[in-house]
Amino acid sequence: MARVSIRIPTPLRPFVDGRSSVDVEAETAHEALARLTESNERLRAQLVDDDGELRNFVNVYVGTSNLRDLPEDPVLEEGAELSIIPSIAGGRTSEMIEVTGGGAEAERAGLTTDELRRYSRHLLIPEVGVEGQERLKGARVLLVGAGGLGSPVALYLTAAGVGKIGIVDHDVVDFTNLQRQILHDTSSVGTSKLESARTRLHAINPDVDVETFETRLDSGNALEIMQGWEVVVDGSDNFPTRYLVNDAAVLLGIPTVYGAIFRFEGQVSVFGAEDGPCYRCLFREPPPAELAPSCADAGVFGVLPGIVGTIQATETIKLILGQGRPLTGRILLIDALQMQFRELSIHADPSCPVCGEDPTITELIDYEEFCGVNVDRGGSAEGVPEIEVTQLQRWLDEGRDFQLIDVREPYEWQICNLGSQGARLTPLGVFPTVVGELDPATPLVVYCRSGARSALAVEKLREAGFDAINLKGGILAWAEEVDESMPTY
Amino acid sequence: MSVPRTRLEIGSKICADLLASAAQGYPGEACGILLGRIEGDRRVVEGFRPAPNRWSERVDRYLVDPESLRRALAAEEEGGARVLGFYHSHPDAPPTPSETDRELAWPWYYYLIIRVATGKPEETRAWELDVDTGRFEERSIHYT
Repeated sequence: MARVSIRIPTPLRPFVDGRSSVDVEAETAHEALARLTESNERLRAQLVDDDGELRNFVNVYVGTSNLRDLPEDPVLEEGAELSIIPSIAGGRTSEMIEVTGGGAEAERAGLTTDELRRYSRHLLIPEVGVEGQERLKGARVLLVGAGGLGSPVALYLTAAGVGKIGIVDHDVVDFTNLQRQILHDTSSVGTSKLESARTRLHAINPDVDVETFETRLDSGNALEIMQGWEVVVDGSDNFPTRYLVNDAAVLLGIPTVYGAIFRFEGQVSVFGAEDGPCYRCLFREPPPAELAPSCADAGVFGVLPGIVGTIQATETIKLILGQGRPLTGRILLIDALQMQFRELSIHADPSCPVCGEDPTITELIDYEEFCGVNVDRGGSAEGVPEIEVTQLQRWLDEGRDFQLIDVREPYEWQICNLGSQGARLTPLGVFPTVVGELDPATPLVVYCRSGARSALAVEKLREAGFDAINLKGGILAWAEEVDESMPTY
Repeated sequence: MSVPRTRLEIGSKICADLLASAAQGYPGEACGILLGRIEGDRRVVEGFRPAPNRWSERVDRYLVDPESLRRALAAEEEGGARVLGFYHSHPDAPPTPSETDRELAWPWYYYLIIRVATGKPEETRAWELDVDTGRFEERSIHYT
């Protein structure tokens, strides 16, 4: 009987209390292995099969000789050294398997090998897993708007493997969009937002089917376009569309993931889900048009739609997976400047005109009218006299006597103005106090950025007895048609 | 997770040499031993040793020469470089473990798989067997 030492490779050390070698007393190599494993069933299972034969992925060396190569079980001398050497082997031809969470389950779900790899980090999460990923693959999500909110939503839903994504938009990419609309890039300025989106999304995930609707969503087409989608994500930037999306989604029984942004503040909620409120439960009527500025009028902090949009994408994916607690019956209020997230509880209103017990809105209405917005966006209020920029230039050239009033904010004036043409800055907010200083005997030409705010001012001025005219298209039109060197925003 | 998550670090020069070596076996499978040190949750590759592929019957299998591994493990015992794991190539196949790889896998060691496409190394990924599930888990590779 000899006392021999058996070297243990690192992977097997957990079975022998972490030791790198174990001493046993034995006459032969096989006996030494039997001693090593006799009271250690787990180690035994690693080294030998049910018949007691050394497993084929294990080699045992006696000194420098492989036990497999020796004709018989060698007799050991005192102090002999045995080494357990892993046999490292493999090959590529059998069907490739995948990582934890994949395997047979994945086959059942019909995910391809490429998809298993692409979504492996999702498959590892119990709340997603193969089943959830398959749900995402089978999901159909409609995005209203491919702008600030639609950008992160589209990017993340595409990356997450939502099978079909529809996008409704009718705009072209503008330079002023690039500060926040990360779907689009500099090279796509002037091209269709939908084409830009399609190219970008395809580059991220060519498996996702992107369907585009190059139109403005309106009462005439909304039901047809929105029909058949599992979730609608509202990334619109105006109240008429917001009410339209809400009403159509309620009529079709589709939940809406709502998001809205204003400068540094954002809102997110899930409307129209089972037993949950809709947008109208919360906001029965829109604010007056003059208190509902767009991004173009009010400005927006570029990162904010990223925050709000990614939360919308999160809620969308949760709805598809049926996991977690959606923002149903809750509205999340985000203040990026203070970096505060607040939450308000909201309830379905039994008297809601669209989702209540006795709805009065059973078909889509005229939402522009409902919101008090002029159909001609970027133009001016109805019935207000207008002057074209080219005509204004003629008046200036002729030396005609009139007052030129800029009703924008001072920061806008800093970007561009008609000060060299004699314009005077009178922001809308200070209008009432300054109006007394204006000469009622001299005609007024009033302008803003695009003509909407100045139309309101003209309306008020005319009521007060002034001979006021609105500059059609605002300073943007001037920059486009008269002074191309003027910076715009 | 039953397997503590560690990561593999490899210098770009060593990695480039390793990939070139792995590609040499094309269209057969090349294999070898990863050597280095362990620092906390990091496994730092400091070198590698190509090993003869002893699975001579088939071009799509590999078996790390047992004698090469014995010597590497003996050197480790003497205070030499640690055997951190192994690498092998998947000629014209994804660098994900095959069923054969899984059946023959050892726990603890890292398995670096290199996709070699028409003779050129393309993609490298690292895997470790989870003994509890019998499945491979991917490990991150940090190139230093």
